[in-house]
Amino acid sequence: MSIRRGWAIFIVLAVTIVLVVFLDVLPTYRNLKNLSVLKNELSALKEVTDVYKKALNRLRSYDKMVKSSAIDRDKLENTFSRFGLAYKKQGDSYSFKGFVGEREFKEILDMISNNTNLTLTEMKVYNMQEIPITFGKPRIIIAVDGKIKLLSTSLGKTKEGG
Amino acid sequence: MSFKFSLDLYVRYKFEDLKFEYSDVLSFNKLDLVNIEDSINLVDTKTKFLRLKLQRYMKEIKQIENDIKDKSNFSEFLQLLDDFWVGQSRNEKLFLKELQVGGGTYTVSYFEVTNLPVPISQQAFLQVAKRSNLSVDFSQSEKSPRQYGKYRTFLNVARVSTTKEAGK
Repeated sequence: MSIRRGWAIFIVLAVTIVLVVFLDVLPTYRNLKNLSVLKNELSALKEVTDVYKKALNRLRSYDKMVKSSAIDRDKLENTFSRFGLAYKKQGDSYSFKGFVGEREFKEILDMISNNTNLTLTEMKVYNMQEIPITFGKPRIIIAVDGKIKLLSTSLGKTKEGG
Repeated sequence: MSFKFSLDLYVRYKFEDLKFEYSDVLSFNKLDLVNIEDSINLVDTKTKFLRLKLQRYMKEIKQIENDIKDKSNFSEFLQLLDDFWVGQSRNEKLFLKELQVGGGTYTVSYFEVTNLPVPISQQAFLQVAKRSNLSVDFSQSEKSPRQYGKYRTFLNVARVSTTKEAGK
């Protein structure tokens, strides 16, 4: 009988130990392992954050630069209208077409050069008066067909740009 | 049970240490870690989100840099054209025919009206380009002149490249 009682006590003890290990110690031990997983996750986050911070700073400086002498859409559209150029808006780009004189043509080029947020993506210019009949000073008519892009950053989109 | 308690305590200390070690990163990302298991998911999600946002920013930065480069190349090209035109207009009769900008190349076609047997403006163009460190290709120019009375008209086609090579 005493051997049986001994076995019974042993089994109860063993079950208790197994329960304690499973219910109490194991979760804590699992957390110990999770700590190293968390450390890896945090170090990956640190790595990405460092690169992200650098990219954000670059974007901020570009945003500042683009805004430093930016032309807004209204002014750009007014210029096209003033020169009698037909224009079409396509997102951040404008295509324009029409005939201008020499002075107006120079003004268009100056506008592209002087405004930090304007970049010319393509342009074709034809002098309509290929060969002058006289060498006097006839008014030169220039046909322009171009595309302008408004530079903008996601940190400071223009009103319509969204 | 004391083993369990001490292990639990050790884990808790370590967790606090980690939070302290990465406090800058956590505060930048506005993350507040409460318990270990949730923290792993939280940090993992934030990292994935930040990676996506970073990808978008990098694409945008590249685009802006390309646009700025295009703008600066165009300014250089205009400056070259201006320098050449101002220098030439006193002696030669030049008439702009066509100007093409796009895809990083710049082409200017112009007529040169002269009573000389050969066009002389190409040499001047090349010299101005050399000073600006730009390369110019005149190979598409018309070989024979058009005759207008006693004057000859040469059609010069200059393809300007802003690759910073010495003028050819």
